[in-house]
Amino acid sequence: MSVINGIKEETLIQRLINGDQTAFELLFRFYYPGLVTFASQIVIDSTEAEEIVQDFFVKLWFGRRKIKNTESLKSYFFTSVKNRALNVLKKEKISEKVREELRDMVESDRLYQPDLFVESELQSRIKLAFEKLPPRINEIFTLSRFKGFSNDEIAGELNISKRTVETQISNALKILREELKDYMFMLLLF
Amino acid sequence: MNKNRQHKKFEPNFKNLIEYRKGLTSFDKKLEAAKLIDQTATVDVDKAYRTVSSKINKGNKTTGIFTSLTRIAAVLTLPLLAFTIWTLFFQETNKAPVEMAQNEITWQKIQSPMGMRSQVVLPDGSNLWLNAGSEVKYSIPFTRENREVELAGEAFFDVAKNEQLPFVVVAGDTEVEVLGTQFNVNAYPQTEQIQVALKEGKVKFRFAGDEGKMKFCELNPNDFMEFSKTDKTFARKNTNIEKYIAWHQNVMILDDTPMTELAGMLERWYGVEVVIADEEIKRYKFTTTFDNEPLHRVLELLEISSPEIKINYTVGKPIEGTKKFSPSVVTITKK
Repeated sequence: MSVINGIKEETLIQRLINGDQTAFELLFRFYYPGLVTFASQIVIDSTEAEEIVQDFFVKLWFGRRKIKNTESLKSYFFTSVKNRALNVLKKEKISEKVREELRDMVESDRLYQPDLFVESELQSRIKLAFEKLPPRINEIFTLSRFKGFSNDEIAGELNISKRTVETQISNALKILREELKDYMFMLLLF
Repeated sequence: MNKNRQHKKFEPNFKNLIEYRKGLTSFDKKLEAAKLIDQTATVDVDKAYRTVSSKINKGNKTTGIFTSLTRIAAVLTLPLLAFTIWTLFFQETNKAPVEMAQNEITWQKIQSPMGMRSQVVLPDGSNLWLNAGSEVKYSIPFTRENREVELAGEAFFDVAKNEQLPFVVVAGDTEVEVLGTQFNVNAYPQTEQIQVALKEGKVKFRFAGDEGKMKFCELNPNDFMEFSKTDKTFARKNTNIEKYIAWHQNVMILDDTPMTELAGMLERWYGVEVVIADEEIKRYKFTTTFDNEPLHRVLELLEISSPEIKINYTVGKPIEGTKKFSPSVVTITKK
């Protein structure tokens, strides 16, 4: 079980069941960002993802007395949000075939495992690998892979040649390959 | 749901996503994973929590909102009356319409229940931390001739600088006026004192003196001022003000704090009821710092630090026939 702000999750659940809003807030702050990112990978819309997760937490508060203290919150939260997200797609008239494929992917692909979205060993190892990149290379690489800029755009933005951009990206990939190699056991299914 | 959304969900988008994810190499998947982790950091949790918090607190406050609306209506009647008289007798004919529009006011009210502290960003960019069992109210539009908030309880302010628009905190019959600074105001209606602690900049504390004359007192950084509501007098000292403001960073500092005062702090901080079952231990004093500790740890540490006391904690139970819980009770006795 997770430890949130130095408090055991068990304690927080007990306090939540007793109607303690501070406990609710701590759980919310801990899980919300991850759940939203997770849901947005199903409905492909971050605003909608936020609505789904907020709605889930509101229901959680009002149904708090039905929570069982032994439950693992992480898997309960992520399963609930997954089902809610897939239900939204049903209302949006996405065909059953596509929904089924999506459900299969969410349930089998490691890119949807809860540990990726909340503080966990897996998450910190991936973060650590990126911290190994020199700042400049990290900046270029982030613009390219995470923010979707083209090499030309990055060259213009940072006032360097396109050639430099290409070299730096390939350097970044080399470093990351090396760093992430050690964590193969964590990321076995990737 | 989603009536306002421009695009309906588009099936090919989902097919593309599935195909794209299938086509990733194992290395690309690691990069994709890092991208997702990165995304979690950009989610605005504060805003989301405010939305959720207002929804879960709505249900049990229907009557409260109704009565406060009538109160606001009453407060609004006077200015409106004054405005009417002013328009009838004194107004110059050429500048009416704009002023009319600007005089439409609504009130925004924010409450922190017992056991909970909240942070609010005001429309002018100032930050406000609201301690447990406190309430602030401000008008919208917020920035008119000044920036005014009404406070009942305790709040820490980090005010955005604006020389043209003074920031005024109204607490009972007193006011704290500033231009841009960080300070704490403790003004629970049920307590006899109003306390102001200033971290940075300069503030002016104003109150109506005995003959109804406005008096004021100026505070410099690290000044702590205590005002007595009945005597209408104040005492000011330059001191370490950390213990008065640390709460807004979830730190509770006890500095020779008497048991009775500590009991009040625990009640507000954790939303429990504290019973001191022995006259003698009411005189005990405590000096320590709790950095974001849960209640059970705080109680444990208090017990360890003074071997003569024993602390009992009883969890609140549902009250029959209602959806409410009785408060949890902390009983402090002598061994």
